[in-house]
Amino acid sequence: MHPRRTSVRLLTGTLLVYALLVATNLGEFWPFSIYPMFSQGGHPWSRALVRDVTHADAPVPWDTLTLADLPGEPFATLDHGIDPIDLANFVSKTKRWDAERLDGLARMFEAEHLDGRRLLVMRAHGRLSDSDTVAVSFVPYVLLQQDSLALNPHLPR
Amino acid sequence: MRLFKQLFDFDRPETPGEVLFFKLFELFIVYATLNLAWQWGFYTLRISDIVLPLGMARYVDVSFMFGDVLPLVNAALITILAVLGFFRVGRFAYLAAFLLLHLQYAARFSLGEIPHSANMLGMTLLGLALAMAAFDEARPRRRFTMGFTYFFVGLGYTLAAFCKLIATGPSWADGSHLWMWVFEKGVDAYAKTGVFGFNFLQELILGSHLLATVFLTIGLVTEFFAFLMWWPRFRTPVVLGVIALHVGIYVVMNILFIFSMYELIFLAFPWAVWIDRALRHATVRALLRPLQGLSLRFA
Repeated sequence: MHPRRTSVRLLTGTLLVYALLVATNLGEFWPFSIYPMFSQGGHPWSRALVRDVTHADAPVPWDTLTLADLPGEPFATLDHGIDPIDLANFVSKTKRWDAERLDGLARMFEAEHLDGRRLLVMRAHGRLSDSDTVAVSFVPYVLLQQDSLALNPHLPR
Repeated sequence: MRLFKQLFDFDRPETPGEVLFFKLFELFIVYATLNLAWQWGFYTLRISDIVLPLGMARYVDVSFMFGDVLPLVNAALITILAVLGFFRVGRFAYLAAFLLLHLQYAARFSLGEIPHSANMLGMTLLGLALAMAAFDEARPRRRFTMGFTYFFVGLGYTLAAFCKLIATGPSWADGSHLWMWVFEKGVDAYAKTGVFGFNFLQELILGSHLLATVFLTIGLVTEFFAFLMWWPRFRTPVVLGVIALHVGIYVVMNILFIFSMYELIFLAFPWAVWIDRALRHATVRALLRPLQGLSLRFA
């Protein structure tokens, strides 16, 4: 068979498989994708970060905070091999914080990271305010220590 | 069809520069594949939970990959298969490597993130796999792989533009949307490094709605017309435009798809023509002889 005929069949066959897989899998089936990232302009977003509150004097506040009010010190996830996007998705896509979920979160932090430390996992929310500026707020979710963890009492279990 | 002639051009004679360029391109794809397989493998050792199943994980429970060294075993298998494919041992080595890399992806990205940094590489690996499986001769394998790659890379970016226009409409390019993403990525950088702040270009964009809107408009237009890379005469400017898009995304949003950038550099320029010109010189011919030998022996 002439290579042109084979290539037409392969290309159209791949296109059909591509279309079928993305149509039945919410637009994503690696490596096939409709590339929807950043397609929704202006929508609120949710991320996560970690604060080291080991030496913080005040008790952990479970309220919504601003950047200026964040407790403790920054905990750089890159230095500890934790992917912040994994963390952000884990925190934002968890609907019920049961024992399994809390265990999964704790496992992202290896034992050496928690040794003697108190780490506060926080969720960050961003939205466009009425005056067309970006408003960012932070909600504490989970306080992690070596042998225990505490969940924000306002989160669903 | 004219488009297929533009993409594949099977009847055009092949030059030594094309043969050598293809083997170098293939070497890059193999290197990138192994890099991702091992990177994903090591990270999967720390995963115990499936938050959002992707790909085959939507149909098969991939939690068997957790809690053991299986991700590293899989990476080793991918390595062996990719090397076998590179040295043309077995027609289906690349296809098997592709399928196992998909499993590796599904296990690694089960915590909620849906990355796109490896999609271009994945499509190119698929092109290589199909070429090796479907064609007996070397020239159609090379032409098919490159044509397949240009087709799906161009299609990908154009699809992204359509997604934006469908999800938000032309107002997607409103500068305040870019402000939102700059802050979002700023928080990601803060989480990663512990330092919150914006670079010079981000500060400029945050200070000017018009500049932010122009940025997004240029990006959207670049993506929309990416399909023009299917035609050789538009390839260099269009792919260079896509590279510039990624440079802009990196500077403004701290997002870098490094392997995609390298691959785009391979795709942007007429490297084969330049290699052919260089091969006119005896010194260069002598230097490149071993590589030419490799590319012909394992064509």
